[in-house]
Amino acid sequence: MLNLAMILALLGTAWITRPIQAQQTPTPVIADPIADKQFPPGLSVLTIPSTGSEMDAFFYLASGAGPHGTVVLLHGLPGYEINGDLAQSIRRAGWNVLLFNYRGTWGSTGIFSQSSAIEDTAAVVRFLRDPASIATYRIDPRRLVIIGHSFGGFLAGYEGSHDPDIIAIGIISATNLGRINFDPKERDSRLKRWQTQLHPVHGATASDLFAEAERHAKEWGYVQWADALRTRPVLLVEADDHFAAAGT
Amino acid sequence: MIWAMKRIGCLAFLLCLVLWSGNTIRGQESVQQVPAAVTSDPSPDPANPATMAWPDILSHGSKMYSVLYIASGSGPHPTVLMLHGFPGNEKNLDLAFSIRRAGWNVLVPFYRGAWGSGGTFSFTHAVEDTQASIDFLRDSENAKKFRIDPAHIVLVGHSMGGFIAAYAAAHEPKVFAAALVSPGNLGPGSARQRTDDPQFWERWNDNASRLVGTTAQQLVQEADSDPAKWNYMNCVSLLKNRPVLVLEADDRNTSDNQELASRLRQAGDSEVTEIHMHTDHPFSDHRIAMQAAIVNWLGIITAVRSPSQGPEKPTTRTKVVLLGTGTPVPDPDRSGPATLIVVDDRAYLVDFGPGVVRRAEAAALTRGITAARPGNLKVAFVTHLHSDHTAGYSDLILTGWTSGRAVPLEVYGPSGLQSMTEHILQAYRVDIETRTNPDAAMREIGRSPDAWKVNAHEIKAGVIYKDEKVTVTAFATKHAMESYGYRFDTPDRTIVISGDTNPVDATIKACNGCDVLIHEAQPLEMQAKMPESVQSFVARYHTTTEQLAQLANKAKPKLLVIYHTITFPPGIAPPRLLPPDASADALYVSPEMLQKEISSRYSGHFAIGKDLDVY
Repeated sequence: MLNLAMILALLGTAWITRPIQAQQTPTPVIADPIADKQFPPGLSVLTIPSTGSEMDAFFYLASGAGPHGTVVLLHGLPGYEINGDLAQSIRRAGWNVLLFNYRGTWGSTGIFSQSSAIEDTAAVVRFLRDPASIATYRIDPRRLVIIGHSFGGFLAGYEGSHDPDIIAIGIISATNLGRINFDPKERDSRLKRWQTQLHPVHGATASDLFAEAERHAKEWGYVQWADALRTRPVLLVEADDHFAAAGT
Repeated sequence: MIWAMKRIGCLAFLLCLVLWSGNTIRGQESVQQVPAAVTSDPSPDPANPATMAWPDILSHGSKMYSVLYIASGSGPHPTVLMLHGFPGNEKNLDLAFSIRRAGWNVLVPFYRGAWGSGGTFSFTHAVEDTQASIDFLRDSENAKKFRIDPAHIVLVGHSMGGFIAAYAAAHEPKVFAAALVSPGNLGPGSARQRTDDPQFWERWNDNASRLVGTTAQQLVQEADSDPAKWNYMNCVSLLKNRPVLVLEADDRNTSDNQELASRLRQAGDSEVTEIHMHTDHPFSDHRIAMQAAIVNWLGIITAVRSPSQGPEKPTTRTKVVLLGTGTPVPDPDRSGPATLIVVDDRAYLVDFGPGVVRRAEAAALTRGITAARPGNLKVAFVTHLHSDHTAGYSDLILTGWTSGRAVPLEVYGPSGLQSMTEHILQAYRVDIETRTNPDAAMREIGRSPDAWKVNAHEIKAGVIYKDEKVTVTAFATKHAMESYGYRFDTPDRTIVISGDTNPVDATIKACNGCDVLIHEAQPLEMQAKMPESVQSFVARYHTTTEQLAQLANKAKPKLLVIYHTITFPPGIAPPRLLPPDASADALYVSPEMLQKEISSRYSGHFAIGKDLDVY
């Protein structure tokens, strides 16, 4: 619940510069919105194309006439945890929230790789800026925020640092793929962990993904993105896990 | 969060306060309390933290992907098997987290052919996959590994998953109960069957396209080929001996859902809960209300049924219910100190801080503790006469009476109690006279004319109360006035509660390996930030975490419950207490801070108490 609270604080008051330990839980986390009969909230199910593949996407639409700021919520790898509770809370706070499954994961067609997931994220952002999408889903394209967890946190940082029109990013315990080979011991234990977790991923083994990350070590070290992001609000949510040191 | 609610049977107490009528309640607007599990994180349990697993479940040769959320605590935990719809765009994971915070495990499998799981999808396969998931949860190795209580497996299904839940529960008697959230009937004659509706094919084609190995046409054929099997009305006779929740929305399933609930009642199911919410099929603007309804229902069905459930879970006759864990600080999340010791159907209250009666009703509604209903509170003990422990006294006396207490309240406590009691009754003279006046309309609902009275007993240390359920021993403690702790000896447990006090040997002696010790604690980190005068008061009359750890190491309770910790949630600290330049939350004590200070000094089992916790 703490993560939700911190992210909502980001969305509500964008410029918080000190770490916050204890926060009041905002109303949208714990209470339903007032019913809006004219513009009720909804769930739209979409297929978003990315380089010839079809990605399943779930678009939680906020109540009210809008246009609504819109959050892309990126799950990790492979995405057993999709943070569906967070999506609902963000929607209650008045934002649309889009979740999707990367190419080659959870039944989305195509082959998965980390590079293709980077492209998938950009494809989703393009989709949200498309005039037809803006009209259909009551999107405010000037208020796009990307929030990601674990591998999704890496993608959020990548997309945010490469697209200056994303207004803010939230990074929840992100994986730093640029440092995957930094500590050989850590590399081995992570590889073992990934090998047991990638069942719903099509077309890539843990070793493939490690080799890919090592090839891209230079451009995927996320600490270097700080400069590109420094004019925008960035929320880093850390946990007592193996990613904390890399995130700070 | 307003919905029409219909209710029948043994759970009618849920709404008695609204209606004062019989068992059948129809069409009344009601508001259900949102349980803490929906709105706040649990106290962490470092030894057995909440966690997740992702077992592949084998179903007829194919691997199904699944997510298993495991509750904190050593368990074994009752477990929900959560079934998604067709094709499962809404996976209800917010609900999964709330259920886990309520102390349940939640398994979310993805049917064969859905969301990357192997094999192909069909309705028949989804039923088989559900049986495979039930078998997985009941497997003794899995039960051990994932802390599962195989006697309490509840199916929760949404939309098509609601059909599957009804069908699978009907055909697997080992399933304890089923919650059907806008279940979609698949059989001909049902809402599903309006194939002349142009939107039907559009919807089904789109849904089927997300599943492997099937088409909308094939699924319709499958349902039509055996109309009786795919009509959930035919599950009624097999479900009628178990609790069933039917949760309806304003969608195309409403009429079928209402008929299902009605048929279950007609078949004699005394544990049907039917709730209607004015929202859409995925409950978009009623997610919190939906979670509250399901979490409350899970609490009630297990509280009501557990005692009669077999040998796997020994029945505990004595429970500790924390009604209020607060202090003088008006923290909205912590009522004034009030603790209920419940033995079978009897309740014994220790302290009556502000909010006590509301919290007692909440314990009845959301925790299934019927002994906590305000009219059932007949015996109370007070540790000392500070206002935070007694400001609910008039409410306890008068609301208890108007809620049905038929005998005078018996209250035990230090010198001054009788005077306080007399003055409160004097203060409410006009109210009492109005309600006892022979002409008063109030009397129509059966209040006892003399039960507003209070027998206040001023005590000394020693055995002060005894009945066939409990013996209560008072021991002197050290606070700013005459004060006592209490030890409760019941047929199966010994419970000791400290009240406000400096550490004293009497507490160690009273506990001496007791089952539960409920003790106050003030964290060192917080105390260091307080003004000198407060620190000195705490040093003389309260207990720091360090002192409590020392005390608990000697008292050796099986469970230590910490309550009455002075803390100021962000924004409510009085400016005079805040150190200069401190942030608004400088005097907030998080459960983690307490956890850390205790766990670094005490290795026994302990919990940071929250209002409405039950031990």
